[in-house]
Amino acid sequence: MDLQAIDCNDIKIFVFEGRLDIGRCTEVETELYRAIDCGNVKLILDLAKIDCLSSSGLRIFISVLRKLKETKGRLGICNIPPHVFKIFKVVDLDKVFEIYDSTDQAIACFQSSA
Amino acid sequence: MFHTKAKGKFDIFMEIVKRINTSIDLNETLSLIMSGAKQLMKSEASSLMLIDHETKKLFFNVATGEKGDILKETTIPLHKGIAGIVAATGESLIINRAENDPRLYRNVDHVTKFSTRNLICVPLIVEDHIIGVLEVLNKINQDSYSQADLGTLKSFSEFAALAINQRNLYQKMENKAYETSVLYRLCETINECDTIDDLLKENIRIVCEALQSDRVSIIAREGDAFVFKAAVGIPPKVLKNRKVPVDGNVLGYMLSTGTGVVSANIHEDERFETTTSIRYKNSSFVATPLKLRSKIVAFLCVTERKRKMPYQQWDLQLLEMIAQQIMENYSHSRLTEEFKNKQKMEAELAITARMQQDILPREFPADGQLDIAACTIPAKIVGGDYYDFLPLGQGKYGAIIADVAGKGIPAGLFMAISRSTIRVHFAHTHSPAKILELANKHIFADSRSGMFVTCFCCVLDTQKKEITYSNAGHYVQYLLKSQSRQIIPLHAPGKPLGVFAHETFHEKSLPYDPEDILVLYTDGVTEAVNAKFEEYGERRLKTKIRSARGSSSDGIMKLIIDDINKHQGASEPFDDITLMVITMKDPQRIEAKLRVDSQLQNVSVILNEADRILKEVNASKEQSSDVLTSIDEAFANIVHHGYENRPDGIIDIDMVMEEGGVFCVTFTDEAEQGVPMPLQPTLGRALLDKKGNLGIGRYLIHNLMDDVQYERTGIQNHLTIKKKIT
Repeated sequence: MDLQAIDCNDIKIFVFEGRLDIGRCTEVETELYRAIDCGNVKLILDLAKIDCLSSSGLRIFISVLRKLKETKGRLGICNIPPHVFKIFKVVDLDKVFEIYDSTDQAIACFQSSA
Repeated sequence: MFHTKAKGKFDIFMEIVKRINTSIDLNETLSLIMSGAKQLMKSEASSLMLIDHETKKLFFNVATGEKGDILKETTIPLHKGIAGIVAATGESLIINRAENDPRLYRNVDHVTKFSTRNLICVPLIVEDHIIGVLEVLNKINQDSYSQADLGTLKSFSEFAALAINQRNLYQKMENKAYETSVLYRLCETINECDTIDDLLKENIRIVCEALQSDRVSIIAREGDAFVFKAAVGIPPKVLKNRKVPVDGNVLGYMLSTGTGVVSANIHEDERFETTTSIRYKNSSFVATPLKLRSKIVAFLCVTERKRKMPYQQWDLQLLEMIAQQIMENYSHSRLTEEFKNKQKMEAELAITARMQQDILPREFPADGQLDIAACTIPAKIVGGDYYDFLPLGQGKYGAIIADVAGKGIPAGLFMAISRSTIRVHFAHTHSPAKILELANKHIFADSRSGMFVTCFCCVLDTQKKEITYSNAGHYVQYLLKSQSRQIIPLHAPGKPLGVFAHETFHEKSLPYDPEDILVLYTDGVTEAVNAKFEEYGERRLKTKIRSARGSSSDGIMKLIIDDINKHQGASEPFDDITLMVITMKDPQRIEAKLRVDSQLQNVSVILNEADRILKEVNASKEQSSDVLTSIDEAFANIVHHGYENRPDGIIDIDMVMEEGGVFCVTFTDEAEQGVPMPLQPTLGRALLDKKGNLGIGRYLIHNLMDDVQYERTGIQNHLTIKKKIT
């Protein structure tokens, strides 16, 4: 699992690569929390290069979403490959998150509404 | 003479006293006393006799004149003769008409051809204790001794007795020092001599020196007789006839009394009816029995003293002390020898055991068709169990497990014979029944001692995927079917090899599937007992075999051995334990077996392996994702809910591509059986309100995989998930 953070104005973009398995979720969660604690309220997760996602990964997304809602922030998830989107769908989470086809679409959406 | 004449009696007395006082040697002192008495009393002869309190006899310790040598061996009983009477009564006597006196003991005169005319005999007294007598005989130029002469000799004797006593004390001290040095030298021989014979030889050599004697022997009990065990100075002719008679002679005397003997003249000693046929130049003799746990086992005899004085009581005391030390040396040496022999035996046993282990195959080349592990743990160093494995060509392999009746070296030898006999017959036929029949004939012919061997013999045909087996009186062996987890007992009646000359054996065949496991074992496995003498048993063995999912043959073998050890506890193994585990393989099969601890970070190892296989079989991105996600969920569940986050639980993961392109993963753990996660969990928006785990793992697995099965056997949980890939 590789996690890269890109700053785009007031938006922080996290690029995921590899498997987000249960062995890695703690460090990923810590990383995302740190960004929120530093004052970032707009997060975009780019899952283009993610190989697989399990419920432990979903749990991170849910807790990050919850935390951002407290600070009136926003979480966008983009570039979800079909085999990973399937996981969202199976547990009915495909409508719960703000999901975008691309990073640009997500950024545009975040900036226009701001 | 000229000077002494001029001198007065007192001067002569003082001169003699001075001379005596400068001597420290007892014998020299005695000589000086006698020559002094002769000179002082103007007599032809003098004699000094000391009392041997052991034999109640007077003996001539020193006699002057040319007759002295003869007198040394002459003893006089107390109360006999003038000297005997004086020694017994302590009263002095003057005899002036000796030729007519009946009290005279004529023996001495007879021996010395001396003719006694007159004499004075005075006792030698120390602290009211008579130690001997002093005599002067035949007054020169006079017919009789006077009362004044008696007074002079009495005074002289008082001084003489004191001098003798003093020298005696000194001598005793010297003797003690001498004893100590002799004992020390004897002790040293323990470390110097390698064998008991050497030790005894060296010890009697020391006895020779210590008692200044030429002839020393140890005559030891051997069965009912006594024989020369070690000797110095005994003619070879005598030694050749090793047996020594003990009836009525000095040895018989010691045997009946249990005490040592010292004799000035053994030939004339009335204590012994007969003397040995060995004639001594010197008739003085000293001997002592050698005792082991207060039983007489031998005699230590010493004769042919180099000094002219006969052996005395002190010599016997010294010899008795030496005898004790020799017996201690002997016991020590015998123990050492026994210990060495035992060590040698053990070393030989260890070598035999190693050779035996060495002939058992360690490697089992089977072209990937079979995964084999085997071991044998002998109960005694050399066991009678063995296993064997032979590639027979054309995809066929022979496997044998056998148990020779008995243990130790004979069983080990018989095992080696049986093994080569069976091996040889594999060259002619691949029929297990035929092999056992032929081997039985040869083993029966070799089995003179009535030994026999039970043996299970099978041929594994990896092309036909078939096991053909035959059994010669061995336990029923097991085949675990991989799919159904059923254990098939491999029955076939038959007598052990080596019992009957002609015997035929049943042969059976059955097909096998990949991953089926053949377990061959000896009764040492099922009959291994714990402290309460409860056997390990077939049931526990079968349960263990069935539970060993996802392990290699080596893993299964270790699992069973560990379980047997756990059962036995500290109990000493009763029988050899031999085990052979053969897992049937499909070389084309794609698989991976992993064992990890229950820690979350270990999931990546499993996922890496699964990913490798999925790529190898060209699984799609979606298929891979579904499988990997499911593995992640299953593993997380076992760690969180099964082992409740304990880090030391064991999880076995067995991944395989089954026939028909189905990827199958089996998780085996030993956690408590928990409540399964819901199959209809909270989903969608409601998950946002959930704290902690979402509880959707099991639901995900069921949605992503084609088949999910859970089973509990014994203490183990087995979760098998499958997905069709191609």
